[in-house]
Amino acid sequence: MRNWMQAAVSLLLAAALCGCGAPVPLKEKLIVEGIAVDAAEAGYKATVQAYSPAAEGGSRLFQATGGTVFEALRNIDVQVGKQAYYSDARVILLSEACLRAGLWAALDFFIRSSALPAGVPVAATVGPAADLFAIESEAGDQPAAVVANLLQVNRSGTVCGALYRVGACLQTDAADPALPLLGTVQKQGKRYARPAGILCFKGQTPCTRLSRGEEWAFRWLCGYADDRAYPLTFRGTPYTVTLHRVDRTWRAAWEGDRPAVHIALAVACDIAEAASAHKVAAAELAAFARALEADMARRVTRTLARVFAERRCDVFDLGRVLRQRQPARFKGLADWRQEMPRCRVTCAVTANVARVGQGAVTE
Amino acid sequence: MNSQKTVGAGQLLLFLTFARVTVSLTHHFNTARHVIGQADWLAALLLPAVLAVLVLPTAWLLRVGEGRTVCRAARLLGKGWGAIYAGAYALLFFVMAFAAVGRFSFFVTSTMQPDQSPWFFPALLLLPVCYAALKGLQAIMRAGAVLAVMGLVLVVFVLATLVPRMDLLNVYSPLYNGWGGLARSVAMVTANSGVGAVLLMVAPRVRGRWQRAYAGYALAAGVAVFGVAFTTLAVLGGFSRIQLFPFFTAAGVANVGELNNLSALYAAAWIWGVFVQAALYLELCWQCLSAFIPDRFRTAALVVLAALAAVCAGLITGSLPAARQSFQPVGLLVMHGVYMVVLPLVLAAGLQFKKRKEAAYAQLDASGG
Repeated sequence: MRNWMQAAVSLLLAAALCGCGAPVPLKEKLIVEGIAVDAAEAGYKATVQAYSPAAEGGSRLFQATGGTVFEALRNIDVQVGKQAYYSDARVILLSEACLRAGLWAALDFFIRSSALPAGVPVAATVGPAADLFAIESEAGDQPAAVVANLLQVNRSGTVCGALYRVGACLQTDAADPALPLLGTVQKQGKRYARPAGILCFKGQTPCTRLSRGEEWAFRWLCGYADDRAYPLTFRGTPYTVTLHRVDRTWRAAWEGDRPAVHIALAVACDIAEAASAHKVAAAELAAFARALEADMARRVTRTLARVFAERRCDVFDLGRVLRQRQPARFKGLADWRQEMPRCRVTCAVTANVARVGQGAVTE
Repeated sequence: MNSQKTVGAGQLLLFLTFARVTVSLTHHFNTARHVIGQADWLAALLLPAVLAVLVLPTAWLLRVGEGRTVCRAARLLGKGWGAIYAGAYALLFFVMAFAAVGRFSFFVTSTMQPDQSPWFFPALLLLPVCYAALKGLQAIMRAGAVLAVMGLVLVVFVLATLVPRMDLLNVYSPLYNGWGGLARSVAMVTANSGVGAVLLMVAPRVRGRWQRAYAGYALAAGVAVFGVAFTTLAVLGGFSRIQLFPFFTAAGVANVGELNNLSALYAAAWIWGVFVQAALYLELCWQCLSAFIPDRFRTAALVVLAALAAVCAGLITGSLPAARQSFQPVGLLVMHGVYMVVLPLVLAAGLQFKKRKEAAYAQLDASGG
C-alpha cells in the first residue's frame, strides 16, 4: 500500500509540475521568435516572426495594429487563433517613429510580461521595424536570429540594449537609455541588416543618434564589447587595430560647486593590419601607442562634448559614477540634467600594443 | 522530557538555511511597499547578529524547560497554559505552512503559468506535503537535508552565472536613503526570518548541540541573503524595482554556454524548499494539536489540516490584497515578535519563577520550618 502511494504521489508530481498540464497546449501556441513595433495611424503596428514548420524557411510573419503595443500583439493572437508564446523571443525592434510617443509606452508590455526573458535585446530601427524581418541571410538563418546575432556581437559580456538594462535606465534620473540602431541596405536586389549607430534618449524621448564613429566612445565608456577593427593613421600610414579589452576606471569629485569625472581607459590591443606591408619597428611601438591613446581620447572628448554637454544626454554612465562615488553631493543636486554642461569630464587613455603581427617587427 | 533524538544537528542547519534562502528568493515583493534597494545587502550582513538576538528567548526557554518542546514546557505551568501555548503554536505553524505554499503558488501563477487556476498548485502541493507530514519529523528532516543540498547548490550555481552580468555601478551607498532606509531593510530581513520558530519544537529532538546548528544557520543565512540581494541589485539595478520577483528575473538573464534562462532552476529550488517547509510546519502543527487530539486521529487530522491549508493558500493565490498581507513586513514582524520573543519569554519567566518557588519551599521543608 505504501509503495503504491509513493508511486502515485511521485507520478502526480512529475506530471503536474513539468508543465504538461499547462492550460494551453503547445500546438495552440504561436511561438514568437521576434517582435517588431512600428507606428500606425491609431497607435502601433506589431509584426511578429513566429515559428511555423510548414512555412517556407520555417517561420511566418504576422501583423496587426492596435491602440497600444499589447493591443496590437493581442490582435495577432485573435487573427491567428493561437496564443502567443514569448519565451523564445530573440529580439524586440522598435522603429524610431513609434519611439517618438515615448520609450516607456513602447516597452511597457515587454517589461511587465513575465514570459519575455529580461535579457532579450531591444533595438531601434531607422526605417520600419518590420523591414528587418524581410532581410536575407547568406547562412539561411531566420531574420530574427540574424538580427539577434548582430546585436549580440561576440556574445561576450552584456548586450547593449538588453531589456533589463533599458528598464533600469527608465527607473533612474542618473542615466539615460540608449538603444542600438539598425537599418537595412540593398545589395544586388536583396535586403540585408546593417548597424546604424546608437539611438540616445533624454529620459523617454529620442534625443540624438551616435554615428558609427561616436559609437566607439559609447561602447568604451559603458563597457560594451565591440568587434570592429579600429582604424588609425600613424605617420601617414593607415593601420587597423584590434581592441581586445578596454577597461575603464573613474574618479569622481566635486571641484568647487561643479561635479567632475575623470575617466581612465586601459586598452589592450594588437595591430591587425598595416597598409603596404609596412613593418612596425620596435622603436615605433611606443609612439604608435601614444598616437592610439590620443586618437581614442579625442574621440571620447568630442562625443561627450556633443552628446553629454551640448545635448544633455547621459548615456555614458557619468551620472551613475557620480551617484556611486559622491552619493551625498549627487543626491543634493536639484536636477542632474541641468548640471551636465557644467560637469567637467576628462579622459586619459593608456594603450598596450601586445602584438604587431608575425614578422612585422624590425630590429 | 522528550528523549527521542531523531534529528541530526546538520539536518537542522540545512533545513533552516534552505528555508531562509527559499524565502529570500522572493526577497522583495514590491507591493509590500518595500523594493529591493541599496540597504538590503547591508541589512543581510547584519542578519546573523539579528538572529543571534532573536534566539535568546528560545535558548532560555529550552534551558529552563530542561529540553522540552514549547508545548510540553507550557504544560508544566498547568493544563490551561499548555492548552493556550499548544493552540497558539499550532496556529503559527499552520499559518506558516499555507503561507509558504501560497507564496509559491502566487509566484507560479504570476510568472510561469498566469492562466492556471489559483487552486491548482495548492491542491497539488498539499497532497505530497500531507504525505510527507504523515511520515514524521525524522523522515522530513532527512529528505529535507538532501533537497536542501541540491537546492542550495542550484541557487549558488545561478548566482555564479550572474557574476559576469553584474554592473557594479548599480550598487552605491546603502545609506543613500538615510538610516530609515537601512532600518526598513533590517526590518524586512528580520520579518522574513521566522523559520527560527521551529526550534521551539525541534531543538529538543536534535542529536548534538542545536546551538551550533543555529549559529551555522545564522552565518549561512546572512551570506545567502547577502548573495541574493547583492547579485540581484548588481545585475538588475533599478529594474528590480518594477519586478515582482527580482531574483527570478535575474535568473532569467543568466546563461551558461548555450543554456539560457536559468529561471527554471530557481523554480526547482523553490519547489523543494516549499515542499520541505510546508511538510515540517504541518507536522509541527499536528504535534501541537496532539495536546487536544488523540494519536489515533493523526492521519485524519493531517489530511484535514492539509486541505485547510490548501484552501487558505488558494485564497492567497487568487487575491492580490491577501497576497500582499502575507508579505507585509509589519505583520510578519509582529507575528514573529510574539511567537519567537514574547511567548517564549513569558513561559520561560513563568517556569523560572516556578522553579525558584519550588526550590524555596523545598529549602523551607528541609530546614523544618
